[in-house]
Amino acid sequence: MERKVSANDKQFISFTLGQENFGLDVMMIESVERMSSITPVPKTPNYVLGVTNIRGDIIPIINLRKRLGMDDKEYDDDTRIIICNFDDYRIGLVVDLVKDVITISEENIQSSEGIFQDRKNDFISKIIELDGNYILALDLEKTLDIGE
Amino acid sequence: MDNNRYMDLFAEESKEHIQVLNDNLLELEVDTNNLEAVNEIFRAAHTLKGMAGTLGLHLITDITHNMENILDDIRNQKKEVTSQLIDILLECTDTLDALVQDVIEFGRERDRDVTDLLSKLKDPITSPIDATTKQEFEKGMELDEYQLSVITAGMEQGLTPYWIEVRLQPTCLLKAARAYMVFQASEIFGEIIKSVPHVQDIEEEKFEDTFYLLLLAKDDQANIQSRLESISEIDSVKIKKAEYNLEKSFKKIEDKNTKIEDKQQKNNGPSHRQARSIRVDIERLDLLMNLVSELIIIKNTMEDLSSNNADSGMTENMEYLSRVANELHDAVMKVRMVPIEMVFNRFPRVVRDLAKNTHKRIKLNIVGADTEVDRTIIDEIGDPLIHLLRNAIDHGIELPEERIKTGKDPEGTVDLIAYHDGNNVVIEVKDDGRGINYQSIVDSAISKGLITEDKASQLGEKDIIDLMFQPGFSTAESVSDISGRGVGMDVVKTKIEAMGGLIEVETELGKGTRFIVRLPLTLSIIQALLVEVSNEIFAIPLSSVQEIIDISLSDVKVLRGEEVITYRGALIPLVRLERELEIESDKGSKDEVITLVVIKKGEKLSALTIGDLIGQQEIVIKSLGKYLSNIKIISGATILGDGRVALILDINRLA
Repeated sequence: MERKVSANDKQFISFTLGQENFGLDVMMIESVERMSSITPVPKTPNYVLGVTNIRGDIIPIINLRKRLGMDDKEYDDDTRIIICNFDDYRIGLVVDLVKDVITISEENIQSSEGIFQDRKNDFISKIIELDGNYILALDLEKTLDIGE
Repeated sequence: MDNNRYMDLFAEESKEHIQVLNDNLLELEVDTNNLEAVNEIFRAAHTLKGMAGTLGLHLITDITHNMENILDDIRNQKKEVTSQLIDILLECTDTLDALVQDVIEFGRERDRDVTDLLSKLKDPITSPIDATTKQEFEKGMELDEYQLSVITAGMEQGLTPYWIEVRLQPTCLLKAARAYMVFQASEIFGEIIKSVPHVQDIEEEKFEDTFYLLLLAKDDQANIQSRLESISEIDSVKIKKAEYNLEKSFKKIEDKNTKIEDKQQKNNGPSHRQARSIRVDIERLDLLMNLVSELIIIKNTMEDLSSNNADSGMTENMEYLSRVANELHDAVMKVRMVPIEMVFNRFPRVVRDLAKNTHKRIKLNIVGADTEVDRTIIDEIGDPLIHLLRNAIDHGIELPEERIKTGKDPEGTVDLIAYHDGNNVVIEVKDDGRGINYQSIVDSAISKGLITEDKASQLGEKDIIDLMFQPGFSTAESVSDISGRGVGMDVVKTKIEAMGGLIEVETELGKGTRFIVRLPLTLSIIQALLVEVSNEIFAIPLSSVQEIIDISLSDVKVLRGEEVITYRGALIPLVRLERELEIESDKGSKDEVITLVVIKKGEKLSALTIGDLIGQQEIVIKSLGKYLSNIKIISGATILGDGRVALILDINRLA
């Protein structure tokens, strides 16, 4: 896997939800945390789990499975919260397992436009090819339903 | 109006302008083509002139006026920027600074001789340079107390102070090096007490051909003379004893000391108080505040820990820590507090102008101008208040003829009242005008398409008032100059809510309208009551809590489907917290006795059902962040001693 990093390369953090591999641009990632106690917040959408305390800061936490229309799953030792910092929003995403940080060259990234028909896949902006496998890159803006 | 207040304001602002003058002159010195700097200098001088003019400070006005003339010539490229010109302008700045200092100390300008400066300003090219140097020398001859004491001590040991004037040859190239040699040679004989110009300036060659030394040496004048003259490129060396100066100088210093005492005595008087304040960037205060917040969170955690292992020494020290932390918090909060006067001060003028424009007669009463509020509120509250005032004058107060017809005083009254209420600061804008006509609001809203006629007929008074705060609403039949431009009350409301505040309206047709703005006093740490509802902990700001009561279930009555209780002889609504928060209640209503928290929302009371009472605690308010910013009934969150997050209820928006 040793490859030279070039200017056209992008780094993604890869994680799984069920059987599928997802990716998020590392530029938006602040940290990866273990699951901690979450305080529910009333009058929020069902995929908002609540808020948690990450080293003195209060961070809203989103159940990514629910947000992407997948079945819920019990938390286990692999469950992680990915803290994203995006356009002044700081939000934690609960994922099944965080795998790796991967470096991808531009030619292996493809826009997802015209590939998916189901609206539930609007959250995917790009598809990354890595060693014959496909990783779905999340569009945070759409996932969080912000910027509208 | 009290002139002193303007003097204070002038003193504070002019310091800033003088700083601008200094900074930009220095920039101009580096880049003489920097027109932007010239403009900045011009603006600052012009503003100073304006302010000084209105306060009758003639010297400042004269100087700034002449500065303006020169700067104007520079702008129009009639004059070139020379270093000489900059020196003169800087000298002006220094004089201005001194004059402003006089104003601060004495409340007026003192007589200072500025004719020299003014003539230089009028014709900067032909002004004699030598005069400045000479002046500087005389000024430089003044010794400070330490130098005098060294000389006195030296004289007691038989040493003599000499003033030495050294003139270098005009052709001399390395002036600083020559001067250094003079210094070295002099130090063979004794100690150099002082030099004019300052040693540093001499090292940087910031002198013409001549410099002066005050040398404390053995009485060996001829020897010193010949030794110094032997250095090459020296034009002349003049030495004279300086002892005659001493007594006079000492007297001067004594004079100064007594003057200082005088000043201090004056300072005790109420009128000429010297501004003993510094300006601090608000961000630094925020940082300090954040650190205090962190400290209080850790303190709470430690309190939790220490209560579990009861060691008397630990408990004692915890209490101490707790007290210090609280005092620290109070102190930091106080630093951020400023009298609301800072905002109110500009309103009399605003009201006067508005009254004139609308041909109305209006008296403005300001009450509670000394009420202190957080600095961040001061910055934000001005515009909304001006809008409310405009609204009161434009829409509220009637024309004098109309007022006479309805039997009112032809002069309308607008009250601007500020006061503290618990952890809130309340600002009221009250007029005795015509009041709000509900029907005209409804009509206007219908014509603007904000609601349908069907819906309009079902609106209560409160809903109608809410319409007024809708974007794009304006009750004025014609768009006037003053208000009614459509960007009205909705902006006011948004702004107040953004500060965590609330606006209420009370109105009576024909009698007047009262706008009540309620703002949080402190923005970050509050005392709160912690309660548990279905295993979740919530914080209620203690300032909103009236009382905690136990009542039996049978005392809860249902009126038209809504639960109420009797509290101190009056009916108040019962609010089921778990229902408001949309969380399931795990215990049914089996308990015969329920605990209620009576909360006050302005003047109105209501009772909240809670699960368990946990206790009172100081909490640090943290924001839920941008993503969850629009949850109305939660105003923020706090971190508990065990690291969990508890939500803070926004009582003003609850039920």
